[in-house]
Amino acid sequence: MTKSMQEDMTLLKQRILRMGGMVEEATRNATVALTQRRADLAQRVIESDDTIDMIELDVDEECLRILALHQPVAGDLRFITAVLKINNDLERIGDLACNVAERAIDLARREGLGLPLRFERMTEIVRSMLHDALDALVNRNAPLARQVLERDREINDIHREHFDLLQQALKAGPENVEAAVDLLSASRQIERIGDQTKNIAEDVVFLVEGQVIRHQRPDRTANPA
Amino acid sequence: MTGFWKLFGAAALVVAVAVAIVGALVLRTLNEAVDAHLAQRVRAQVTLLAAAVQPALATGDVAELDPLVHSLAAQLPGDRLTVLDAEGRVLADSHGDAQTMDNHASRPEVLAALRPDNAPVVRASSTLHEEMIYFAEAVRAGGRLVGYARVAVPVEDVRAERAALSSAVLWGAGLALIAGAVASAFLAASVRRPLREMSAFVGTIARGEAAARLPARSMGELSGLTEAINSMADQLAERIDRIVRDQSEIRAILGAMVEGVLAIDAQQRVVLLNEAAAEVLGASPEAARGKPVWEVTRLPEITELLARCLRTGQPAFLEARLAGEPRDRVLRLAASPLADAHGTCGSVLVLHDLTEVRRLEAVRRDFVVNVSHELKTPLTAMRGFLDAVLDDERLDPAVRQRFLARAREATERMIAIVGDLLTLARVEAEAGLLRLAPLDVRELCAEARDDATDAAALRSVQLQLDVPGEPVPVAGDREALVGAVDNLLDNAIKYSPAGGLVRLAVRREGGEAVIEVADRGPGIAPHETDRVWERFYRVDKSRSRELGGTGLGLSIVRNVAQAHGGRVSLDSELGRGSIFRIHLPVQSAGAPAVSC
Repeated sequence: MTKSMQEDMTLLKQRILRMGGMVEEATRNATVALTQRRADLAQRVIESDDTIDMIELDVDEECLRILALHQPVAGDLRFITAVLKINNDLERIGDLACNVAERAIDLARREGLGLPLRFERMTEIVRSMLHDALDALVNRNAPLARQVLERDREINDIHREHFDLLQQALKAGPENVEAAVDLLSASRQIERIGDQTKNIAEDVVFLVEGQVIRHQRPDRTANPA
Repeated sequence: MTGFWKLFGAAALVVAVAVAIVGALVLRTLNEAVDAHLAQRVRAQVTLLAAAVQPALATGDVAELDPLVHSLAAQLPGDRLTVLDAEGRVLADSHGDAQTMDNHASRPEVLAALRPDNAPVVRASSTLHEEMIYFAEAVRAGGRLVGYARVAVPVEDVRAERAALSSAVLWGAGLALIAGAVASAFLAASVRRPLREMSAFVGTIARGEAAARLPARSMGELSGLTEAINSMADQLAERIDRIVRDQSEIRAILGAMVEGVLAIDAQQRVVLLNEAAAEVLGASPEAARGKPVWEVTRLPEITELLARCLRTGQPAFLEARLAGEPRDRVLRLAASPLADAHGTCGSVLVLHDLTEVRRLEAVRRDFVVNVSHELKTPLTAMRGFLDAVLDDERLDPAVRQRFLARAREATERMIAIVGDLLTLARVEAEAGLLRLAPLDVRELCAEARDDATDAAALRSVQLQLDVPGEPVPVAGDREALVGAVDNLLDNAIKYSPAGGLVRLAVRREGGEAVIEVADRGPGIAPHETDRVWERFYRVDKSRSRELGGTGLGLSIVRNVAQAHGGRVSLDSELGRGSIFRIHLPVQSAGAPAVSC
């Protein structure tokens, strides 16, 4: 690897991690805004989205530049393709965080429904997943990335729980409709942040082990036909 | 070649040269002495022989000569004595037959005898066929040459003597050489051993290991060197000690600092990360060292602030607010450039956690606002009712009475608030104001339960008291503690649905007495569980006031618990209910009372 390529790779790593840091913060702010009814935090998330989009373009361009200029092979090529995908996933998470923030602003104005919704737990998991997925990327830690995949299941369970509770609330009366729809939407966005984070973790496993683990169901991996 | 062989070789060479020179000189001197002695002996013998044979020669009594010569020769074994007449004819010979021998007049020693520089002659004897040393002397009688006296000594004898001498000298030289070599070896070893010890010692120190000091030596230069090395080792050890001590001091200071410290080099690699900073960033100090800072923390505020500080070489400050639960974390970040001779070579970031400061500021601000607000509400109501009564003199007495009663209610409410505030101030101000006495928590709770019975009956809430069989002793202020439990029960009853159950339980957990009040009310959201203990903090603002709360109850409970050296805790789940607990230190029998 030439020196200039090494420098470019270091710079790329710095940028994707900056992107990760921004998205992580946006996710944290959006979810805290939701659970603590903090419109000020939500506003910050929406404002930071432009920066995130800008860094995304930046990272993309840098990846393509390295590909064109240095024609990397093997591990470096895998790193760049993984960065391209992770970059995309992160941008998507940024958008979802924005959506959560918008719902949080609406919900901060409304009366609570008094339902035992578990947004605290749900957002805590999604934040830890994103944090660990990015840590796994920094340290090329495949076991940690695999651990992230496991945690998505609980998020899906909580979302399903929320779905049932909110469905009942909607059935109960028209006065709950707006709040219930907002909460349902927020729950759905958080669940999707979990899915995107899972994609990042899968990309990290691919980066470290060179093994594609996407689109694998537990039953299929258990019985390789 | 090692030092030993060099030193030994040099010493041995000196000894060998000295022995060789001395040996050669001794050998030469001895040889000369042997020659001189021989010459002298031969001369003396010839003179004696000449004297002995002179009368016979002078008288011409030749027949006497032969026995005389033989008798003389018997006393001088090995030497050959010969007597010649003036013409050189052999008259007598100790080793040969004089009649058969030829004329000796032409023999070199005979010819030499007439010369003034007469000296011994070495030549082979024609008669005995042996190399001999000859010396002859002319024998005169009354000035007339009458014959010659001659003595011959075999060279072999002299040679043997010389060989004996030489071998003695060579033996001596050999012994001297061996002795010299042994002495040289000792000398070399005596210099080499301390040198080797010193070099091993210096090597040990160079590797940074501790070593015992070198033993003192008596030898001049080496003892000076030993002392110098020892004192060098002492100074080195002292200096290393100081450096290690300084380092561990600095590490301990950095580790004990409340502020987080993060230092990076010009390439933004982490040089130092103390425990406080590692805790804030969720990193480990060891693992972070040497890594790029953006791999250690992804907080955009920190990485950008450090990058800016490095770029501009100017200090940079930022107050970052990290959203979190239960509350935001406020960090004051101060990045300063580290400069060396070549310019900026890194940056050091100090993270100051302002969360608690900001929270206390907010609490104080809220408190003033809340107190004003809480007092203003009943005051406004009072003024309204009193205005109505004052303005309308012809007011219906029944209405007037009702208005005054409402004004009184507002006054009661204010009194309750001010009373609670005073209680709070009392327990908060000084624990010393509490009258501590040994108490049984079971009795306290029974008393509180009795106090709450009416309120529970009013809302048809069921009260249940669970206490253990044995006493649970604590040291406390009875009035304050009963008041605190009253407060908890009061809240639990207020928020319980009609017909609900409130459970008051006492437990002993390790060194703590736990008073637990559980209700099946609406529960409290997790992000509010810490805040409910704050003054005037209400989960549901309208409902609380409607229920007649002052917003200070739980705050009083917490302060009472803390004044007793205890704490409070809360477990709650939305829709399921809450469990409030007071934890107090148990006072075991015989233990000294809590000193306050």
